[in-house]
Amino acid sequence: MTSARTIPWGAVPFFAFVTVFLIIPVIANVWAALTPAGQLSTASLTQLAEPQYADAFLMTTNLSLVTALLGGILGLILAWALTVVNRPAWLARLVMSYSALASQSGGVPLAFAFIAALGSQGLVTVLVTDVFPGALDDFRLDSFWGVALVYLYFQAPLMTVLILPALGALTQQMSEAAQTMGASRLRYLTDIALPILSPSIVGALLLLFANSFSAYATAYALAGGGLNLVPIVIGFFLRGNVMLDESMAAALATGMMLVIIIAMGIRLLIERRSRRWQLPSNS
Amino acid sequence: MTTITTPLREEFVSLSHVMKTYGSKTVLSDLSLDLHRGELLALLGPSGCGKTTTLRILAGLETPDAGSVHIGKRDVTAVDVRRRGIGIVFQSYSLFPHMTAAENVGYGLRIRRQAGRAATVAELLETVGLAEHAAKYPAQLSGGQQQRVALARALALEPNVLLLDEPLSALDAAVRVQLREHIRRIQMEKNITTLMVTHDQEEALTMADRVGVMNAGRIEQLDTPAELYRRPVSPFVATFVGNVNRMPAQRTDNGTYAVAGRPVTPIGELPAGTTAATALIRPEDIAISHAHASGTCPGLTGVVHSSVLRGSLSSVYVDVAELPQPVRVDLSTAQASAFAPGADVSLQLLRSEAVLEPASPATAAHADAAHAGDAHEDDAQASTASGTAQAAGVRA
Amino acid sequence: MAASVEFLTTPTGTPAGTGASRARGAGRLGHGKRTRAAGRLHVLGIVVLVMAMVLFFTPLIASAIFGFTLPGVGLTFASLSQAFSNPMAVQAVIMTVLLGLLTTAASLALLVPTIVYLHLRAPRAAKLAEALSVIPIVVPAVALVAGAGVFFRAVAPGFLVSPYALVPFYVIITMPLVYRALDAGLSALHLRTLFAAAASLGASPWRTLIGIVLPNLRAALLSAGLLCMAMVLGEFALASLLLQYTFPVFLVETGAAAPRGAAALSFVTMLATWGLLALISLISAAGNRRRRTPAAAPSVTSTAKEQP
Repeated sequence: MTSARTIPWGAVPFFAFVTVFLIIPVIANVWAALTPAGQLSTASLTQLAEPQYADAFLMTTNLSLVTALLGGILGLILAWALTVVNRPAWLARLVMSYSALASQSGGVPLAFAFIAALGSQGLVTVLVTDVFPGALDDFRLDSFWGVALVYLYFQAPLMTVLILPALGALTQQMSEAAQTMGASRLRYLTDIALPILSPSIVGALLLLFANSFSAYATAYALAGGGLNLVPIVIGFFLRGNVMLDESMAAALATGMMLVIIIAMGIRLLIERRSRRWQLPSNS
Repeated sequence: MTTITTPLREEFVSLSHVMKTYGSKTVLSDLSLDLHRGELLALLGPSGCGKTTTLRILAGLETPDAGSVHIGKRDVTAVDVRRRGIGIVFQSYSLFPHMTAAENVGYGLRIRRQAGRAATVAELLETVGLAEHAAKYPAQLSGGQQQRVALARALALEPNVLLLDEPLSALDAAVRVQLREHIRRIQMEKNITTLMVTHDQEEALTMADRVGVMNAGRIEQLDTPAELYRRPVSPFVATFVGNVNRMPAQRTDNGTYAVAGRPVTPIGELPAGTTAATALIRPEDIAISHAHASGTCPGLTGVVHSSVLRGSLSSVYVDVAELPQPVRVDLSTAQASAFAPGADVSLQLLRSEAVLEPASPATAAHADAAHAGDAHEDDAQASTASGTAQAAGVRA
Repeated sequence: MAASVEFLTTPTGTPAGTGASRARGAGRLGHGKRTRAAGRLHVLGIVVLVMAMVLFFTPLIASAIFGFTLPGVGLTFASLSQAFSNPMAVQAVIMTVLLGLLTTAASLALLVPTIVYLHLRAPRAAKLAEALSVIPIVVPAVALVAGAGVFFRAVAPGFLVSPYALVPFYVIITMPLVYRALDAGLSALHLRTLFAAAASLGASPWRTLIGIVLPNLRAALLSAGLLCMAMVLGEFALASLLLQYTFPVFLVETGAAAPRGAAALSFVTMLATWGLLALISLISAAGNRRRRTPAAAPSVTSTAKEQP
């Protein structure tokens, strides 16, 4: 009855829907990137190497690297703190729930919340300048570091949320077993804890990278067109703010998808490699 | 009984007057314990009785508030875990998941930079019967195999003392029985002094040279399994190890107590002036016979309520008018078939000594402890049930 | 985007909270022997958590104060009401809520029967469908709009003009999360057994779906629906780039001229979104508790019994 060879008719609407609204647009992107003037050509793709676009990719990559690494470190510290603190249970629980929420908080409202805090008339800005006049003169939320700071607000807790389950896999018994075998605290960290955690850490960092690379709303609300980021440049093309060059927008979008696919592909590979020993032990 | 060729009864490990409190809760109060060289001593008790804390203090994973720990002739009270020369097998999940079985076993040797590691590791894996699984990761091994790797790993550095912290409690019943024998054989071959902590009385009785029954931070009785079973010193021990029937006992003029119409000498001491008590009688210490055949023998009479097949033995439950609960009598399954439900029977005690418990309200706490034995059966069922649930969850 | 990324990383679709509580239950991460060292780490941990809370709350509190007070006036709703004096404001809010509801309905109508069918009849195709449902994660919203523009302008030029054209794309971008939520909920039901049992009692497949599966799926349906709402309420890229006027687009427009009004609106929006998300975790936690009860009950009673 449930022969695998028959066509799953009941799922046809779903596959059709996904094809029309996801697969075809993706293919259309690649196709448009490859046919700038109605003809097959790599002109648009090679144009990506021009300084204005190359700079956009470079800056987006930098922003993603910075926020992934800093967010990763902060998120790890927070996750560590959550495993250490169990006595005021409410505190750990509060931070846990809050991390889960903050990790999802990217977007327009977050940008305005930060403008309210750190914008030129923001409350924190006013408070700090009262005490240290001129301390924040060079800081602008619509600069690279300003956007990076706002991204950290969701990148760091996202790291925490991603890495906590992996921390749970390190049992106290493992650490005690290592001690009985003569391992020092450092040896335990380098031989046991880090190797067990590293696939999760690297995987999570790649995810943070992709997350930052594709973010649009936060950066747009903060900087408008002021920051030369790939999603924003694509947005300009699409809104027709600059002369409408569909092929160029498609080329940029294709390049962007490529970067993200590479990041996620590496993540998948790492996951595969460590799966050998990550299988649940109920074989 | 098991140690007829008694080796040198040399005290090899000793804990003296150990105290441990967590906050306001006293876990161990003045605990002293000696292990002889090469013996396997089991600490048995309900959860929270302090047995695991004792093991962890011996391991150096906890520091005692007072008292001392000696291994060999050496005072190790302040010595770090890493230099105590101990090996531990934990309940489960202590293998390093990213290392193969061989790498796990060889980890301690690697830290010591010992030469000829590979040969030692191969030999140890051979000993625990896992030579062909050397290259597998823990996740690819069954629970029983993982525990055998953990045992090999604990033995790799040739420790002075082996510590087993509920080593079998996470395993299926069949694997548990098999591994019990396996561990015991290796322990005897290596002649390694071993402390095992368990809440499973069967495990303790079948594996250990001596068993210490712990309750509320104290060792109530430390004895060979046979003595412990036959001559428990307290109602707690009697009920925690093995099954008992509770029968009323009345003091007679000559200092003995009358239980089911028969004089019984108490094991252990009873508070002076105890006139009424409860006797704790093992199910196999009662003889059962058909009422018409027993003639005028003194004893209890009752009606067979049901019988439960337990393998070579069966338990016959007899309703007795004077007692609130049916009396359990254990006898060979072949004999038990003669007592069908509804049959009129009479019961006689087979032993003239028994553990007595004063029948005063003050001992109500002990009466609760009587259920501890039952709790294990429930516990085992519950753990298998949740184990199944977990497995289902993973698959889902 | 962030939301979809997060969900994917928990391999079996279990909420991340499970792992977290396990992590805390496992006790100290490092060598936990020396109580004094552990105590020091504990203090350090508390410092980290408190600092995290302060940093977390700063923008939120700042937006509340900035949006709901004015220098010399104190607490006031002036900025908020001024923002809503824009005649387009109410329209944008209504449109956004409408889009959220339509997306939820469309998403559930498409996915529930599909996943049930795949579970019952086509396990192999189910793997493919699951893989497809994850693709939106690697397709940024801007890229989706770019491609959709190319395709639909060529095939159906009028389609992208309507604001309701957003709905299918919203179904796509919420799919990684919604598919997972529904799939996890349905997997827990053991559908094959359920349908076999219902059939043995004479129920038709549709009757089983409506009478038995859906009521048991309430928690998953509710979670999926709330997820849709939360994501659509905050979606900016698609709406803005397809030139539709939704609430986030209105918010950005307001922010340029009236930062205080935008701050007030942002504060309210963040609270509302988080409320929705918190509701989801409450629902799934309650669902988990209910499912685990039968297995957990005996062990609870037996430990209770064991303690003298």
